[in-house]
Amino acid sequence: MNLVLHQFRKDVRQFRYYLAVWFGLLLLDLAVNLGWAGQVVYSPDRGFDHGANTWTAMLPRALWVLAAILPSVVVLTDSPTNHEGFLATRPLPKRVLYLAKLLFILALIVAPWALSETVHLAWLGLPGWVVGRATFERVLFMLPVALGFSAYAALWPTIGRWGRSLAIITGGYVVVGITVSLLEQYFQWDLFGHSKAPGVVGAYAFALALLGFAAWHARGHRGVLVRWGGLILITWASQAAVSWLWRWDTFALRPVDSAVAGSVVAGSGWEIPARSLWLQKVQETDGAAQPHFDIVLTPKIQPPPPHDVVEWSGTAVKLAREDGSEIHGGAVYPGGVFNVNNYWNMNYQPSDFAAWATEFPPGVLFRQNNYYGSGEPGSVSFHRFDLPAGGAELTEPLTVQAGLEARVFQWHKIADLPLTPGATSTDEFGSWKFIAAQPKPQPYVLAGLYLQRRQIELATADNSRCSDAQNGPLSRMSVMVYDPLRQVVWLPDSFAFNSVTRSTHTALAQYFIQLEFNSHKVFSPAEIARCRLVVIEKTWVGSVPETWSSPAFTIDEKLAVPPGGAGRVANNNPLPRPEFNHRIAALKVPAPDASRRDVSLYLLDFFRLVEAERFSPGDNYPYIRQLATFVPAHLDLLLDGLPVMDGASRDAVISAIKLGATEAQKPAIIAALQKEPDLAEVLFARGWVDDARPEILHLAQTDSRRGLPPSALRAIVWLQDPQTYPRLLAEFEGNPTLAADDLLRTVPGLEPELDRIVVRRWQNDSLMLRQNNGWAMFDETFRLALRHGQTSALQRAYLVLNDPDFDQMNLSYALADAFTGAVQMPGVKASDRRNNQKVLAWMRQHRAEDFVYNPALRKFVLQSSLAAASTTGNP
Amino acid sequence: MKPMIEICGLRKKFKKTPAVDGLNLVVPEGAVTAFLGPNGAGKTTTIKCLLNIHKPDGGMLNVLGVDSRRLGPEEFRKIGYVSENQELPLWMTVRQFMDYCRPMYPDWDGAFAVKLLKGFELPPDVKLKACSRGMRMKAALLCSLAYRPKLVVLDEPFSGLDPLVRDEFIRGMLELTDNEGWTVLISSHDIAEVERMADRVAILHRGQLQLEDTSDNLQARFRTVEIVLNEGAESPAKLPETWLNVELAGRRLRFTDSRFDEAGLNHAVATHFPAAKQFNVMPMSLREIFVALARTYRLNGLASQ
Repeated sequence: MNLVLHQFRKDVRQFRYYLAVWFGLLLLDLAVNLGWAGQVVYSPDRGFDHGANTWTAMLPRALWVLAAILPSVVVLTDSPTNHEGFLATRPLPKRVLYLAKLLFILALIVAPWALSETVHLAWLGLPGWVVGRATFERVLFMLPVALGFSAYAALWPTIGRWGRSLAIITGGYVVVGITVSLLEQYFQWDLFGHSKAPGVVGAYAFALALLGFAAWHARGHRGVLVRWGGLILITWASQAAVSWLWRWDTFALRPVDSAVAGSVVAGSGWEIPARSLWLQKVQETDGAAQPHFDIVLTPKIQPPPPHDVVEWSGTAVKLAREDGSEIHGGAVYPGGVFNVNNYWNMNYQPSDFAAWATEFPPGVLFRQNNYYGSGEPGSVSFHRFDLPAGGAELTEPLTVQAGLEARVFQWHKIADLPLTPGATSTDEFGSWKFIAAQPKPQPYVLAGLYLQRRQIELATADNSRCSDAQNGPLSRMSVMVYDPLRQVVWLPDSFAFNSVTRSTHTALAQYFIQLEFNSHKVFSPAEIARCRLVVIEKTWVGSVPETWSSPAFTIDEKLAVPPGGAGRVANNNPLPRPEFNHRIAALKVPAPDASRRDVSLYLLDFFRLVEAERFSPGDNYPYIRQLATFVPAHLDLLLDGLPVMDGASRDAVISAIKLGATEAQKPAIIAALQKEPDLAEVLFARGWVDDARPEILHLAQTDSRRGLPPSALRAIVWLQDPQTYPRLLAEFEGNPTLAADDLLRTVPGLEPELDRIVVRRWQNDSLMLRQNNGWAMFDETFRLALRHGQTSALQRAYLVLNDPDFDQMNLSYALADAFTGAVQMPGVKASDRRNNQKVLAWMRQHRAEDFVYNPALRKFVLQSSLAAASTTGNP
Repeated sequence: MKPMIEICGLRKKFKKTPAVDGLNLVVPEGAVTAFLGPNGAGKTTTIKCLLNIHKPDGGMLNVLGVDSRRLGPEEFRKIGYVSENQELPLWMTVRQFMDYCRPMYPDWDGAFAVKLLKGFELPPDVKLKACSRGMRMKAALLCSLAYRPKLVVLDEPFSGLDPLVRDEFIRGMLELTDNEGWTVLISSHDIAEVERMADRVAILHRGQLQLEDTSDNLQARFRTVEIVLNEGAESPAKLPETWLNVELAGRRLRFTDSRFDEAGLNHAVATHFPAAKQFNVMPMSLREIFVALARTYRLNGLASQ
């Protein structure tokens, strides 16, 4: 032991200047963490001061570099591989040398930095378990770095050769990485396996393997080949061993209470309507590649308990034929539990708003100035199934057996503080502090709110509230501003929570956050005085595995092909009508019974012009009549083209068939109804609906995903068959429109169900106002809600109408149009009903409480006019 | 006397170039053996193989009775090693260097170390990197002798030293070897450096041992012979093989007799130069012997090419 301490003292003396730098940086880092140095300063004209960011950000990096370099240099000075070194011919046992170096690394490198974290957290009064865990983590992550680099250094006799080896490795990393990837891809090798456990486990495996290799390497003279070959071998072997043997997701997040999650899912009444399953063809960029399709299905559940949200994910899938064989494919990309990809376009679902709404008084409206919407909520996708080329494989019965995971989350408020500089709110895993409100934009500072969040973040924690996994706790929070007077909750448009950071390498990270409201929202002093900052946090309650088997279906009936064929782009600049007429007239029209090829070529040019004009005229438009002349001889050609047509082209073909179809073609058109429900329009126009009764009934009962067009719905309603009512309600629920409402109300017994659907839809959609898309707020759902007598819809409309910012919202047209259809306005002349200003002015003369719903009229009427009518005896 | 070093069939190559090729050498206990040869002869390679600094490609090497590949702390406590290219901890002062080495050697004699320190006139508080080359060599020698090793290996210790320092060094070594009776293996490319110290001489050329003998035997065996020939006389084509570096300058024929025997020389001169008027026989210093041999080896090397 004396020799060990003797060698240790020698190293301390030799590297005293390096150690001085190391300890100096540690102390500086501690000072920054404790807020004694490098503080973040806010100023009204500059916002958060970024001046100190450079060196405070570099500081932890420098420490990590030193934690790797310093042990390396200490080992290299007396490298066991340097047989020409001074100690090589001295009676110092290797064991003594190793112990001395290890003592140096542990006592002077690892321990001080770990202790720095202990002091930092204890000084700030964090709970003991956090201090202990954070210190453990610091040691956990430092050890493989320090020991690994030390062991690596022991392979090289001099600092020069060590440095050169690092340069070779750095330069060769790309080449090796590409080579390994290519080998794995082209030869289907699984060189490392697919493990969830990279990171710390892999680092320890490599470090330990390297230590063993270095010890063996030092025992004799080893050549260059042995050195490099050994390095490559132990790198591969250690990582492969971890990938193949370590099956645990190290430091994985754990749910809070799986039993509660189970009860939520069990009580949700979840189902997957067969109609919600559809197949989406994937457009491959490589024409020679095997075509693929994805399977998409959407679970449907009842509203969960307050605060709860259920999200679905796919875990496994099998697409089987009747004989049990499978269609190859079904890639699953589970991702993290919290699917947060970016913080700027926060794609919250209606269920999130419903959960948030429980933290506020009833009737609150969430608003965001820019909102990019979300995809179909709650759908689950399975990817890359091989698409058969054609024939019987497209029409053979298939079933999907899907493994699903229902993830239950809860949103809970964790902070509620006034917009007063210095106001704080402390929760279990951190604290929020309001710094300042910037009411107006400055040259270097955007308008918004400036906050600070101190957040406990631990890498080894399994609680999502303090684990830094999956983008960290802040990504699971929603920060908003509540205006109690206007009952509005503002969501920021961009949430720059990495505006400035400090101490993100410790267990108590500091985030200096700038909430922006897209410069549209300027908080007035009165608003700042009364509004409150509210933070709602999402926690993972648990996940419930579920399975689902679909009824039999065929690819042919479910496959959704992107409409319009290849190369179709949105047409925002239509061809002027005179030009269109000129060009249509200039086309060389083939004879109606010309060859299929000639007619095809003509139709290609024809439909290009129709799409360019982007106008769907009535049936008797001249070019529609011209198109109709081809129907008798080329109905099959037009029907073949329908699946890839959309918009004006599709309308043109349907109209042409209506005009030009012969009686003899009735069976073919009826037979095509399943694939093209739009043809119901033809049946009505030609009086063939009776002849198509079986096909219409079949259409109502198939579970193809595609929503039925209005004409098909009309045909099904015409059947007046109770067997079709579930399908009608499902169609309405999937796409509630005024026209569908009018149609379905004619079916006896459906009105209560329609009410229920409208109310539920309105309750979900009513919470969020999207600034740049007023139509989404005052869309069919809102108008239906008014039509079905939902007073809350009228109240919501008045809330928006009376908003001081209404004139900047660009909602006048949508709101006025909705009012016109749903409110009786005796004070507005019929000729003025198209004048937004007059309509809204009249509405402003009244309040929501002044109106009452009239079921007979299906409109809101003034109570005063109702009273007057009852007095006079008029309805 | 038991051998302190035994080398049998040592081979060592660097890439394709043989540095040592079948060397056999024995260093007896208590003797000062000079290990000589021109630059590139393989002296340093041999020493490094002895101390397990290099791994030999073949052969057997024993140091203090232990296979050189297995030399450990126990053996290194009895070996003192100083080399011109040895890496010293230059950041240390002389005193720190001594203090650093001392705990490694249980037999460290502090008083002796102090005596050496004074004898070598080393400034104790000056960093090694601030010392001259000679002072560093002395410091290295001090730390290799203070524990009274059984075997001292010096590899080109005088390289780069000025004559005064070299002289001091040699005097110091002489005194120690006389008093302590150590076994010393000292390598050099110049016999003059080690002439005063060496009991034995081993000469290496192109990785092979050319000659090994005691200094006395060598001086007894070698003579410079100068023969004055008659006018017009020529040197015979075939002369005894033991006559080295035969040179004819005018009427004077000069050569080195490597196996001097008075009667034999007289007979040979009479046989090959019957008309020789006179001849002189002069003893040779070790340096002269070494130079003659070196020239012979070089000529033989050229001839073989």
